[in-house]
Amino acid sequence: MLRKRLVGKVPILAGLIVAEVVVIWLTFGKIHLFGTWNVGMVGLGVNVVVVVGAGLIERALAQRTAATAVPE
Amino acid sequence: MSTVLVIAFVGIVFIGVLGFLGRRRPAANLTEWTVGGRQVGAVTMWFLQAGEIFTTFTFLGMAGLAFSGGVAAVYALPYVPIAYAVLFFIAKRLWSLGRERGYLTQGDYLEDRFGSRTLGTLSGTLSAVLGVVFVLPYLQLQITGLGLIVKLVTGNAASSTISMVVGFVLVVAFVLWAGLRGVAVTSYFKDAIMLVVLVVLIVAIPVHFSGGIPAMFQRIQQLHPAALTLHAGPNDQVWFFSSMVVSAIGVALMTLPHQWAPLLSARDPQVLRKNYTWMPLYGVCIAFPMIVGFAAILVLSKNTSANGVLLTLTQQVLPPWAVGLIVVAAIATAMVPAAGIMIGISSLVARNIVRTRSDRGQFWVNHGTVVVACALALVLVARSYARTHSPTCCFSHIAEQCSSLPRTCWACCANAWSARCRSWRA
Repeated sequence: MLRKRLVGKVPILAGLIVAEVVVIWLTFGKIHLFGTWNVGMVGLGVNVVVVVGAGLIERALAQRTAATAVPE
Repeated sequence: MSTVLVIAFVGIVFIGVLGFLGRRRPAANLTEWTVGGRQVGAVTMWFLQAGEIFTTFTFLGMAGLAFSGGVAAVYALPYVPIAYAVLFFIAKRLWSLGRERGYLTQGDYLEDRFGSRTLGTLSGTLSAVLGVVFVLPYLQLQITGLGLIVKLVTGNAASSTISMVVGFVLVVAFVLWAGLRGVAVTSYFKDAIMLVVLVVLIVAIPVHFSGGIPAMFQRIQQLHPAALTLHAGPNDQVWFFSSMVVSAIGVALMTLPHQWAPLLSARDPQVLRKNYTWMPLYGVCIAFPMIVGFAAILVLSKNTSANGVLLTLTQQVLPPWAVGLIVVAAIATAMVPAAGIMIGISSLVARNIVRTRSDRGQFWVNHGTVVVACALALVLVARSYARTHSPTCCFSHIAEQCSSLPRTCWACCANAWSARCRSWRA
């Protein structure tokens, strides 16, 4: 597996929840926004986007915290 | 009472009795019941995992999909080998973790590996709830399938209802008694009869209607060339590709709750590796019902119910006693996977949702859930029956719908693996 931890726990959970909500909406709302694409594939795409986005925010916040920390 | 109906009822009772033979005494604890004490050998594992591939969806749904969508049905052939190639490498690690940490469900794995008690519990519970909610229609599908099979061959709605109730009361009874070992024993019977029946069907039906399989495909090429290509419509190239990829990801990342019990029940990881090496060869048999579906393109009108094409052609070609045996095989593909699904659902509820503290309490919650889940699935069947006045369903559609959510959930959870990579490597 990967040697470096790429993203934290919060982005992963956020990606999971958002993707599930999208899949529930598309499935039960009988919404055909994506033609004949499998709903699971759409959910996976949303998941990756949210995980990457939240991961970048998490990294930026961590850098800002490190930069503003006063060395003792 | 017709010959077919008598054979069908004898088959239902026989499968139920076989399930009880899985264990001499009822299991005393949840580990014994859910994963057979983690002592399952290569042969039994073969049949348990084959049980996941060959369900009512495969037996009747694949023939129906080939009939309605033509060559698009072939999407079901590559995803199992692709997924098993991945599982060949990761199953050993999952098995070792399961044995060391006492996992019984996918929720257990998520809770333990998430690296945070709160978020782990949240993700474990969330995946368990989604697993239960979206696999319950899969259980409903098996019950509906059983009723549909009996209705198609007898034309009698009352016999269909009685067979659904009797069949699933027996499944609940043997699952409560024997757990995974009951599923294993019934799987031996299911796979044996199903293979024999499919070999007979792919010889008898094309020979009867077209003079053989090559002649049958030549006629399809002349009369219905569109059936041999992926073309615009509900089963186009995008549908084919995305369904295959999602299904492969789903199986490879252990998305379905009932995939976990067989994997965790293995005696050692070599048992799993042997299975993942050879099982794709067995997966080729998924093509058999598709051949029957292609034969139906030449024989049946476009308005025929896709779910019933295999049994309709069987009735036209074979004598009643042989139709009876094929119905028993079809019923087995409903009852045996249903038993596995019940184990998946009940262990998720007992371990990851209700969370009773004592082992005994967990055991009883689990057993109560088996009864409640089956009753709930029967109610769902009754509701759809009341709406449509017949146990109708579209196997391919429902299977895809009810499995897409847990599959997505698990595809998402794959990302969680990277978050745990350090301890994973350790």
